[in-house]
Amino acid sequence: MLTFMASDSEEEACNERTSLMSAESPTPRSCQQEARQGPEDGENAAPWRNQDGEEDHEEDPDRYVCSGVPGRLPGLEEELTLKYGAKHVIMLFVPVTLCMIVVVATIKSVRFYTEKNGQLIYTPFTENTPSVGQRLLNSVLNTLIMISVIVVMTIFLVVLYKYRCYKFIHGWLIVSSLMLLFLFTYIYLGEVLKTYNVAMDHPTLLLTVWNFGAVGMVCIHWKGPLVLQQAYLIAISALMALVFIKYLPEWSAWVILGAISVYDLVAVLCPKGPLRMLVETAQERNEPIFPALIYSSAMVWPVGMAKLDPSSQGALQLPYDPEMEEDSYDNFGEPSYPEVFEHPLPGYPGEELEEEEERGVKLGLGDFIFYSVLVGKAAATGSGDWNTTLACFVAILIGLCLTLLLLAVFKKALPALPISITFGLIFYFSTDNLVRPFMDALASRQLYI
Amino acid sequence: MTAAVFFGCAFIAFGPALALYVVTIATEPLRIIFLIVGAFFWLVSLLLSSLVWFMARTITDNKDESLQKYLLIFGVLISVLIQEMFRFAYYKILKKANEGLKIVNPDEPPPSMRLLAYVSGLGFGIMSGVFSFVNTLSDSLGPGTVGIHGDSPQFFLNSAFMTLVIILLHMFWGIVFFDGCEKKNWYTLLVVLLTHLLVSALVPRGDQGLWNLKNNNNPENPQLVMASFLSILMKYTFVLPKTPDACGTKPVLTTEDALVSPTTRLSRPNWTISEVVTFTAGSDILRATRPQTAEQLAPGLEEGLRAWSEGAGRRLQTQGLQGRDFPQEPSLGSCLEGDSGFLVH
Repeated sequence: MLTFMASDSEEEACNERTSLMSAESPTPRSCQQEARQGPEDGENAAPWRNQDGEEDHEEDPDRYVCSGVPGRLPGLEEELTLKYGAKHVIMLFVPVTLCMIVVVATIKSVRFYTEKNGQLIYTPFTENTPSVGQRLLNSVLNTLIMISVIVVMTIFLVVLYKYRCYKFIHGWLIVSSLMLLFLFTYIYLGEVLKTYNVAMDHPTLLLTVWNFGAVGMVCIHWKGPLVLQQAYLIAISALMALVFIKYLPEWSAWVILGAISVYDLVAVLCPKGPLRMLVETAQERNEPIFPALIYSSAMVWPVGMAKLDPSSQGALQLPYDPEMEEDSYDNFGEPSYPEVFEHPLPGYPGEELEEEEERGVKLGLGDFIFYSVLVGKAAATGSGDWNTTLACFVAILIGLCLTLLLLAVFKKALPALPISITFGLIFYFSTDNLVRPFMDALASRQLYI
Repeated sequence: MTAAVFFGCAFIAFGPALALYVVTIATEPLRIIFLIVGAFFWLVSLLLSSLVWFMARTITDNKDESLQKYLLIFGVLISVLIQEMFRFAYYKILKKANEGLKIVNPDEPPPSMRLLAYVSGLGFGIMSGVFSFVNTLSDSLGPGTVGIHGDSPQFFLNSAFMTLVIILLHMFWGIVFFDGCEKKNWYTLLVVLLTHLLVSALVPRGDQGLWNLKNNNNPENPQLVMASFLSILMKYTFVLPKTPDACGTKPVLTTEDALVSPTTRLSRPNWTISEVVTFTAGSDILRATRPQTAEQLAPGLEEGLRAWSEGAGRRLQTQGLQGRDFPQEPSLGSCLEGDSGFLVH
């Protein structure tokens, strides 16, 4: 999910994007948060909304694209939109590219992640079948099981959120990020050391992993420098993507990628979709939605926070609270994917906040993960071919660009997966089967087009 | 082989493109986006052309080597045609995007067509170079001996130079192509297409068998490289005359004749910005036009402009223009968009 963040930095309050664009009640997410905006748009004091946490394991709920709406004249709105559009696109390109680079570098060098050692319990059907039809059927069944698990978890999360079981969700979130930051990091480090034949004794290992994990927990769940938070979020997205690349069988992975984008589209845009309902509930309560599992590119921290009753309505100025926002962590546990759930944001009663908020944009970690899974699988199975990887990379970036453009046009939460994954899949299969032989033939004859 | 060859060839092939990117494009987000969209367009054109080649190959399901070679040449020609078509399509899309950017962002000048031509050409070039060379590069990192079957031992070096040439050529082709489109000069497009075909169809001699580098065709390879560099020079001569005339800097006038630094806007508290005057600087004529109305310039304004221009050694020619008289399309030869200023009363 992509969201814009309001910033008060250089513009007057009235220029800031504030709350939701339209005044209809169940407006989809307004992703902008206006710290100073007066309660003119009463109902939507721009609760920060990031996508849904509910996405369970596979992806993080953050598959929404959300943009806020400035409380200005339409022409100026558009102007604002495009004025901030290009910079935001680049602010998202960089982390997505970094995550993909980490995943591709690992796949190409560490053989562990391309070896097939079993499957997750979510994909019980094997793909070592004698016939093609059976294999296809098995992958479709695997996909159905995986998607239904995701749907169930999402609905569970929505139910939990509706009944305000915040502590449960918070605990779930912490457990899964603990596992990700410690266990998966330990495994990753072990495999990298094995690949490069570097010896590391246990005390050093313990110290390294402990420091990495502890700082990660602090940065992600509490406070920390923005760059460090972003780095940790990229790291855990990459780790999760590597786990998926390793444990999802070949064909199932592709079918799952396709199915997840369809699900994302449905869940975010349909009126009865779980994610949309989640967003609307959060909106009604004037709370920010699940800041966890969101990568945010905001620049500034609020200088202070006042805890307010989360159920208070009305002229709540919800300041942009990056720490809550950054409170995203992947809760991918093997048994289940807890949803990321965030405490309702403490709001300011209209106090002036720290000023230098800058406009930023948020993208859910689930999007990172699935983009990296696509590119990583292209690198792993493209028969040593870099062209396929690069083509998928460009396709995903273009999809992200288009999604942000749509975000700027529609100014509501949008799923970030469908366009990119569609382009990525199209380019993967066509490059692997059509372009690769052509380019190989050209390169061997030193023909340049 | 291994690291020395890898890094050497990588920097030969991609060094200039990387430098161009870092210095000119990496600073502006909009340019990065246009670069990536250009790369995407090239990728789509490659997809279509490999589809055509693949279909041709499966239709003539022949194992004859020479037929495969001719099919490949056919594929190359089709690919060049499709690439130029996509360049034209990108030009059209950029025109539309420019209109949109002008409308929604009136404060900032939209990027000029020349800049977009450069960025799109570079995008095409980078993608083309990367796709041609990156597999060869990754093979050069591993162990091996080049030329063990009589092929040229300079395979990697030649490929690196050719990649460099292609990247730069795409950039130049982009600029020349867009210039031709802007000026509606269709012969320019034909020239771009023909030179592209010429460069792509240059097959190294000694093409026997799959690897056409047999029989020590070292004498031919320098020929190839030289031909390509001649193409670069040719492109450069096309590009040179198209540099715009020396545009005036953005003049900012006040009625007190104070010529403030062109890029600053005056913000004196008791003054208001009364009208936007756009100056077109020819060689020695400064024309001040008011785009919105047909009235003459306000007397004080004209006085100030005249005094300023005389002080700057230029003649002042004022004319009140209708809105449509204002030049709509900044051609590549003018620097209109760099010449607007504010007049503060």
